[in-house]
Amino acid sequence: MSNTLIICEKPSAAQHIAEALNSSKEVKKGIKYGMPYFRITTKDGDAIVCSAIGHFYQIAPKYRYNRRNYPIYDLAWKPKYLVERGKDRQKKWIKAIKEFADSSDIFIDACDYDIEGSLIGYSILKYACKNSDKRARRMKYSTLTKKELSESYENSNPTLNFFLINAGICRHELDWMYGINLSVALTESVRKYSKKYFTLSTGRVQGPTLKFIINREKEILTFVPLPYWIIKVLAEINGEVFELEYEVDKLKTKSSADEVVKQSRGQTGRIENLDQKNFHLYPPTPFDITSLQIEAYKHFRFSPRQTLNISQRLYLNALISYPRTSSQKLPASIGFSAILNKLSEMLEYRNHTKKILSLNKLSPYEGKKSDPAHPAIYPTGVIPSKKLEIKDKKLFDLIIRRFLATFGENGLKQSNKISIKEADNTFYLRGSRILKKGWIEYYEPYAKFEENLLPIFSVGEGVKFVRVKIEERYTKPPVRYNPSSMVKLMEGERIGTKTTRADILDILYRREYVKEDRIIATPLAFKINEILTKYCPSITEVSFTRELEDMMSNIELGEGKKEVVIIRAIEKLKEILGNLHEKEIEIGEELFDVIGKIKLANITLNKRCPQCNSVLYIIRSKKTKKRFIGCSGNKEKKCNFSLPLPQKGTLKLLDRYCKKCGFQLIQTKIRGRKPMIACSNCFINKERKLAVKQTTA
Amino acid sequence: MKKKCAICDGLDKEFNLCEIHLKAYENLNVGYEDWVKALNNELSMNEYLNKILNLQDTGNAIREVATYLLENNTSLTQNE
Repeated sequence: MSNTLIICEKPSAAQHIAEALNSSKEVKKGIKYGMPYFRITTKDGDAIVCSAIGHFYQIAPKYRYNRRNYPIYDLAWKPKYLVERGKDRQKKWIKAIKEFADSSDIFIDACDYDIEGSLIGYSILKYACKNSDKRARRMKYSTLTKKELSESYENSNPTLNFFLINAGICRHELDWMYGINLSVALTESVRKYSKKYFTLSTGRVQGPTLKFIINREKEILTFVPLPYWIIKVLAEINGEVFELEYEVDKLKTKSSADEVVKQSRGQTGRIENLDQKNFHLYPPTPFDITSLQIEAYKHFRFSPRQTLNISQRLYLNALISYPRTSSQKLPASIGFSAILNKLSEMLEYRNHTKKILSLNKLSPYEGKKSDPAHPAIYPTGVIPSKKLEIKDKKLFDLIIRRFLATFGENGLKQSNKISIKEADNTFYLRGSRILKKGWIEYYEPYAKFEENLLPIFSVGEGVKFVRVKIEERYTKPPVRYNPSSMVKLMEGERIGTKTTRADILDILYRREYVKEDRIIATPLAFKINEILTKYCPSITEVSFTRELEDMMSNIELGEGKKEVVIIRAIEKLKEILGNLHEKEIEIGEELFDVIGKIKLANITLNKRCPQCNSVLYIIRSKKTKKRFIGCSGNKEKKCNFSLPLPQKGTLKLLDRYCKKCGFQLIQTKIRGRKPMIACSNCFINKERKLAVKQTTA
Repeated sequence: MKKKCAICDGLDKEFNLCEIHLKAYENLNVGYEDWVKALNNELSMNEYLNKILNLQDTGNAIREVATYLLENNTSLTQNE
């Protein structure tokens, strides 16, 4: 009998796999150097199921280097604990895997079947398991259910998917080369000019993404609202009053609007035409990760990153299929009836599943997008064994209802348009109603259609205009992007991957290039974009990064070579970095100027000193190292006004003011805790009152 | 010596306005023509600027240029 080592991506996945593949009485759980593992018996003999915790190996410079020196093109895969600080756990886990590998003769990669998963499994097999990547088998599954895992083990691929692995290696190398070299170039230019360190970053996806945001911001900043007029008519038909629309929805001149009012006021029109149309409302397609992120933002305001994390949790609990998919297709092999029957055990879906199961044929309404590795996201039918957290429950419900809706029949909507003629003017009365709910029934409350029922009218009927007036309105600027629409735009422009798009946005927020949920570009973002556009425009253009993405997709399909892509990328990068290097001091000066302004703005309060009307700042005492709100009139006017501040956490001045005293509110963020918003002015008054009380007592 | 934008501290090349304020100025001029057409020539430049400043959706760069024009009663695009 042989010994098998099965490598999974996460400990919870390892547990599911161990339980699914074990044929003995129980799964023996052990811990080696802090790494949990499972000893099981399969039909092939004994096996150890162990796991990684993310990447154990990563790209790093081949030779020792100084972070200030760039560019670096010689890269190698190294254990993460050698590259990053605080990765001792990874070091111990690698040691444990190495020891298990020494006594194993069969190796199975059971990490998630995507680029990152393939790379995690490959690097462990190659570097920690005696180069066993060439002889390892590959399990491919989309859910962590016992049935699918057992089948995946039985039918495991005899080799790893080296197309996916090469695409992954290529992506990591490119991202490192672009991200690190360009970011160091920007950071170094500021350091060389000012001798001060300030982390700045850009990359081949970050650059174009930021440019989209900047372009929208520019449109908003330079937007001039233009006036237009709408005609508002209240009309009486058969004793009932209705609101009518004028044939032109926006009149561009006031005189034309006045003319319509003049002609129609107090008049009686006639119903000239009754138009009725029926529309099919097609069911929604199954969720791929982007459409799930968009829908979760729309209904729950979850950021794309949050949705990714929650869906990953649901997947690891075997409740849903693998979420990082671009597919909108559900193959029959997943077993529609079985899933629907299992979902019937949950009371809230029972009526719906019953109806769907009674249909002659179960055929989901699929979208165009597909993914060779995974189907669309679907519930596995596993019932949660414990109460889900509120956010997890919401997303789980959305995924289940969406899955049900894809099996629903088309809805039918009737729309009515009644044309009313008065002299040369035509007015409309519109109504609509749902004739058949179809899939909408299953997708409520996430699908809503407003109905406006109209009575029955006949042609020639009189319509008395009770009130005709004009309303002046103004055109609106384009709407700001939000995290959800940004992810959608990035997908449409084919930049980033389904899993990295949310990360890119997070970086933009972390670097303070953007702020707020409705994304606003900061002055620093403007400066970064301006410099990149000036000295290396190609890094902000979508075309170049899209070209690289397409080349990497070809590698994934086995139609391209990673070496070709890397050579092309290095050629381009050399050109870009050359330009940046040449103008280093100039760039440093421009950036430092903006950084200084931002830093000052971040510590300047909007409210003035109540004692001397000078500007108030957040100050850190040189003597005590404590921070407080202090007055800039301290030296000149001898003003001693000050207010206390929390000493721990990151402070942020908000554009919100205390309801009691009107003082500017301050947010304190401590890692792992909920942000605290407080008023320093009210805090000190409360303290003083308390002190007086204690003294008098 | 680098020239600075007349409204902010941004750098400029040809005009005495930075890129954003120059764009804002151009949009203000185009917008004025549209406003005049819409209101049948019954609008002076000052009235237009005041109207624009009172609208919620007016862009911040437009506000800054409009305020500058009202305060200085001047035209901006000529080279100094």
